[in-house]
Amino acid sequence: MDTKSGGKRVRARWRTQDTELTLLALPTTIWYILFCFLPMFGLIIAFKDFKIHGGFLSNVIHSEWSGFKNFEFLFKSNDAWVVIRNTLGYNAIFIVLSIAVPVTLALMIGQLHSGKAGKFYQTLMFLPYFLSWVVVSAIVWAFLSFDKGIANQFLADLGKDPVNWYMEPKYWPYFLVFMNVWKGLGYGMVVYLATISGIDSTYYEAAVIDGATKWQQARFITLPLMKLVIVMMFILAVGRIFYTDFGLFFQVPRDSNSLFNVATTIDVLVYKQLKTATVGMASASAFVQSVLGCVTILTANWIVRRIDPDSAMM
Amino acid sequence: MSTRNRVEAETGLDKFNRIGTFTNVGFHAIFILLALVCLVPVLVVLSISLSRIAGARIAATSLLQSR
Repeated sequence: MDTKSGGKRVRARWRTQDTELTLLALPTTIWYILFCFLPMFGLIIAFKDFKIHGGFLSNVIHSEWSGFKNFEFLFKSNDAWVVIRNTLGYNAIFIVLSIAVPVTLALMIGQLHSGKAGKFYQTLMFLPYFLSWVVVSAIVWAFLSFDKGIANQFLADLGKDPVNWYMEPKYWPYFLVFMNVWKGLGYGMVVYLATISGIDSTYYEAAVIDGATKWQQARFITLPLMKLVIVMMFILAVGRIFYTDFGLFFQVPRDSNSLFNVATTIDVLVYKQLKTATVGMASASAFVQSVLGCVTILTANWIVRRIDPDSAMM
Repeated sequence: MSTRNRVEAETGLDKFNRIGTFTNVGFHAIFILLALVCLVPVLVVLSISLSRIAGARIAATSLLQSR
């Protein structure tokens, strides 16, 4: 380890603390090497005419190069525009709501007179996070089923005609956005509540003495101090803007053909095409998503750095 | 927060830095509604998990897809 001292480089002593920190970082480093860096070798499948028979490595090495042929289905498909629009559109809405709603609720829950009640509500709001999308799909079906659904029973009680929800695309953008916010609300709030609880109370005491209202305290103390975490969550979310939650877009709409235009994203299209397509095409799709995700995360970070250098990640 | 700490906190500036009672009740109402929206589906899933399949098919109407 080299450090500069008076213009001269001196070798710093390896301390016990360094050993402890290295040992602490070792499992994560090994995990990343094994599960993130080594599998990158498989990216070459995207450029090969890969067929599943026999050993994996032997197939990768001996299969023929196909250039960008595997990428063509993504861009030449008639549904490419719809799928990319859905992926980016939904993710843009999810990013905004997954920050705005938990931040607002975290600010509100921190103001409750009873701390115990706040913790109780927070725990309950965390519950949907543990449900799988398959189970959520069954719950949604219980509400929206045409003949037995709760929604149509309610409409019948009001004397209105039942709606075939799974055949009506106009409702589904709202349903999908609601389901996403509902499921991720509790998880998102934890991060922001942790940030709020870490803010020094003397800021608020000084603000009270100066006559600041609760709204002014939130606007001029809490939100500015949360900015770093909010920006970090934003940049991380932007990095996954080309990925979508497969369970949400495949399980919840129950693969209804009528909902194709509003509920098909890149991941769902790849899954559907995999029934007839090859492993190479799936790899090509994942490769495109990763590269575009990397580009968007760097762009978002660059924009953040231009606006506020202290909030940028790199 | 212990009773002693709570008394100390309430005699400090915290006493003057709280939302109004009406706002507090409003916030509670919002959070109770949100908590129910999150809790009820989980309870339904739990109750279905603990029910006999034949009974669940009848009582839980369409929660399980009829065949």
